[in-house]
Amino acid sequence: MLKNFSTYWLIGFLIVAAIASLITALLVGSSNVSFNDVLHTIFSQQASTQQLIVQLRLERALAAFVTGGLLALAGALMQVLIRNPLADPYILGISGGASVAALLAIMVGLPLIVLTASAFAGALFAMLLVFLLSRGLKNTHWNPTRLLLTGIILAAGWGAIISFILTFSPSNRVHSMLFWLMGDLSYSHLPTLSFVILLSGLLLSLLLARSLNVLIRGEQFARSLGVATHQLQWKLLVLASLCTATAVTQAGSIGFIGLVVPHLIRLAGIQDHRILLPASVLCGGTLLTLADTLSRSLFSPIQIPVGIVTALIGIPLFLYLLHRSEAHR
Amino acid sequence: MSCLSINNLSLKIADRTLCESLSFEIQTGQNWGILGKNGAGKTTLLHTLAGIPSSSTIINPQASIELNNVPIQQIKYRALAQQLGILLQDFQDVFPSSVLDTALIGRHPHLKAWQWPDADDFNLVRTLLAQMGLADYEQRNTASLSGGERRRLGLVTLLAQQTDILLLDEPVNHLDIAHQHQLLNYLTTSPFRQQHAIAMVMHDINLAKQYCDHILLIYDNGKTQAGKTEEVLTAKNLTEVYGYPITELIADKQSVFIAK
Repeated sequence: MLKNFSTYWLIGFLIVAAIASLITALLVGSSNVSFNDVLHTIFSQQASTQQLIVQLRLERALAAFVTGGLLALAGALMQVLIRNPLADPYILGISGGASVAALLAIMVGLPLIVLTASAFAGALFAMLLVFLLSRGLKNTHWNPTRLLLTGIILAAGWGAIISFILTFSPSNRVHSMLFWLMGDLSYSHLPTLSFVILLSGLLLSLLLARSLNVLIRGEQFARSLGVATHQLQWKLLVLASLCTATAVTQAGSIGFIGLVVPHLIRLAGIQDHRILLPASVLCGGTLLTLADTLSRSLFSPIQIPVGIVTALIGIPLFLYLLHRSEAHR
Repeated sequence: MSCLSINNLSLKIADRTLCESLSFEIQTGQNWGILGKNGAGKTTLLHTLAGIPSSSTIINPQASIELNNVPIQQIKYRALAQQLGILLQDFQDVFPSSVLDTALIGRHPHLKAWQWPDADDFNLVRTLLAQMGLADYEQRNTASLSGGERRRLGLVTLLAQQTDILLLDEPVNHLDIAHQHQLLNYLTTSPFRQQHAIAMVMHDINLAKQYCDHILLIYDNGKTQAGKTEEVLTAKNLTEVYGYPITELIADKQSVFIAK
């Protein structure tokens, strides 16, 4: 809770890491680009091949960063809402709805823009479905357990539909479907709208951040300390869902970022959500940018879904920190 | 001088009546003990008085609960939390938190949105932790505390809230006999006593008799009885409340209640 010296160090480190990850993403890849090319692209208008490559990489790196930030923010909010350390952005089945819509679009062979739009529509539909079903017949306020169970069971339903679609899809389409399901940034365009959503989502959740410190310790306890919990939970649900929907639309269902990043920040000693939320956004963005750079350069020219890399980075990192924090207890 | 007055309050959960047209008043300087058997509605009542009834609690519309003559529904959540605090039966720590951070959460209603606890808040919390015997525990993870330590930490958090009115749900639960008496002594002796209005749910009749000047009995059928300890706390009443024979003994010049 204490806003002390080490908090500033952590935020400073995360900002430097974020910038470094973006620069790395520009320099690394299947064709060679020098730091000079990067500077030229930024400071001049000429368009050489190298500068075109930088341009493409920059768009993709920014898309990765914004997606990672959205996922980490959604994960942090969802963990408070459900009050469960296992909660992640996909736990309520929002990505399931997006995936079903996206896969249908791929199956029919619709253009990218339609695919993106239908994924977002699918995410919003899944979101509304969870809202409505978890409220119950008597229109009472939902509790986190009910919300969680409703979300999990709907996610299972979406999963079944996804399998169904995969079974019946022509085999030449299944490959790109699997990429979409694992999370893939190769189609990404300049993420202007996603960035706006990330920034406003972060600002809005920062307004709630101090109350989240109390809500995480129990709903009734939070009410006894003057927090209007019902309103707060609604705001959280909408914010987290919108961030998730945006991230999934941008890049498919990329795992681990939303689950692991908030815990990484907690394990670094940050409990106060006024710091934890922005730190998660920075850390999530950095991690996904690095993961995406690896995913397109590790087996270059073959690209692998970024979800594989996030798992490969996220799992050992998390286990290490978990082990370390228990040793210090 | 603060005063929580309850008028004509009836509480139900589903079809079960917990209390029927209950009226009483908790004033600064008073220590109320609330007694009743398991499931009688003690906790439900306490939550209702704190303005945080669960969604399954049905309150009769004619009831009024007023804090210094203002209905608590009309008081903003944060303002209410500055005047009235409640110790719940337990606190949740699903996510790891240190003892110090947990206690500092009690300052929540007094801090603004972008304010961090300052030196005064830290001093207050550290003093309270020391008074409750938790001085060396500041950096400990709450998950590593024993039941009694958790209870005392919960109380520190409540006291850090610095409210005039304190509602406590089984404050001495999990505490050993020495800590039980230390805690109740702290709450019921001057200067603390003169500055606070206290109501606590108790299971130990003899502790209630020793430390509470007023008693609220909750019977099985919605009947309640409120009044001065010496008038209300009798073997006959207690036998009826608990549905189990209870008798009064004089031992070492003190009267104690025991089960027959």
